[in-house]
Amino acid sequence: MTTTPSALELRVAAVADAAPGIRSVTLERPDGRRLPAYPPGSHLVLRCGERTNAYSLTGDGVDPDAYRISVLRIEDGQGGSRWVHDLRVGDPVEARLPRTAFAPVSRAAKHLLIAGGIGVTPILSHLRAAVRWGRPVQVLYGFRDGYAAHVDDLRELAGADVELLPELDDFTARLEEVLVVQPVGTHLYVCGPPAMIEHTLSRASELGWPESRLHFEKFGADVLDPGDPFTVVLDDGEQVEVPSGTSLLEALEKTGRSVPHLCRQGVCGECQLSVTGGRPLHRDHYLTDAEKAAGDALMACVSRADGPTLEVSLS
Amino acid sequence: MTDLAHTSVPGWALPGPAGAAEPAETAGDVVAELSGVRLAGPADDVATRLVNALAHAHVGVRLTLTGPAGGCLTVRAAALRAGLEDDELTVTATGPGVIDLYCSHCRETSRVEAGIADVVPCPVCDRSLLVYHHVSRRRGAYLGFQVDAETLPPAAAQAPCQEVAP
Repeated sequence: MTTTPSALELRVAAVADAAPGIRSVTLERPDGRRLPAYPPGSHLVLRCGERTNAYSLTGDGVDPDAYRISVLRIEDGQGGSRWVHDLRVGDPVEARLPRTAFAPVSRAAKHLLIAGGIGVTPILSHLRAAVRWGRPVQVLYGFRDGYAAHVDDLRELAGADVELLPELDDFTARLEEVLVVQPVGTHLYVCGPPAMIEHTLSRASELGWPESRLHFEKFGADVLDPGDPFTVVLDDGEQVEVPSGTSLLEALEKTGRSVPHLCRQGVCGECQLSVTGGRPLHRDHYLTDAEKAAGDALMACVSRADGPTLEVSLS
Repeated sequence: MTDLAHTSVPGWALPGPAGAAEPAETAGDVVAELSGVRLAGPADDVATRLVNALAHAHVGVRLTLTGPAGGCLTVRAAALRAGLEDDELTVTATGPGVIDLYCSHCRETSRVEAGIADVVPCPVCDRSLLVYHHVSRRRGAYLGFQVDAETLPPAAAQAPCQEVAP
């Protein structure tokens, strides 16, 4: 039986429009008690009606009186962002404890923060923490003119250390300049649309940045294709068909088996299964490249089989 | 008793198969190359010059170190303190050489000629130190502790770990 780990019962304390199509929501405990602290760059997994979605927290995470998120409304999305936009003050919200794979590296001599569009949310969290602890910081923020959330927050926090780049050409040109003049010890953090993250990481890598200095947070914008059907063979010998458009996790749940899980989008790492045969087709953001290459584990919520069958162990 | 499966001593600093004599002209010296700039000399000297060079360098540089393992550990520690990451440096050790040994009793670091599991007197407090298979990334020094602390007569074992006289 699946227990609900570390659930938080929250209530909407305030809603505001951060930019056209972007809603900021403040969540508090109904009794007003402080919430658990979290590392900068963390996300909160919310139960949004039928779905669970992860949203970045925008605070610095120190002794929070509230959890604040800013959510871009995606009209043709799967409903999570529309659900958030429909929230009203007083509505109850179920959340999990904040989690992160995007925390700042405390030994960094400087933090280079790069945000694209709504990817500004975890970057704002990083910036707040950098300012609080007096860490050297520089921010590049690319966005579509008129759709920039949290510009005032960034400016107020870091003034001249924040560069606003509404033109894509300016953003890419400035990125080139900035990447080659960072002092040794700088770590880079990027969050934004997939193409922007890819561009930033590949240019940094070509300019000699090692993997250890590059940190990124993808968000749900990269929609996964339905994938090919395959058969999964369980360690009790049973075979389960996984049709196209159905995840391995969903297929296992339909047989009555319970697999621990949280985000259902390959971020949290909760639904990791051991692979005992066949080759996994990795589509998650959780495993490292080396772990993916090893091929002995996969995330059941997004990853599939690279071939007709896959053997996994549920124990 | 020395279990190297979980050691913090990097692979290149572990004793390898005997042989590979050091080239005479660089015996004892560490050679550092920071993206084309070559620094050579005694480990402490190279460490100081390297830290200066890193202060003016930008992300993208790579460092290679060649020399006795002990000297390389000293220079690596300086490089890491200056902000370099493990995936930006490559070390080739030419042999064991002298090592820095941190005495966990008098808290002084001394340069000694010894290898892992050897017992040497602490040059500062004279305790018999076992060279343990732990090396500090930050100090570049091996951890040494009194090898016979459990078997010493009570009076000796309870001797205070006082500061060394000035």
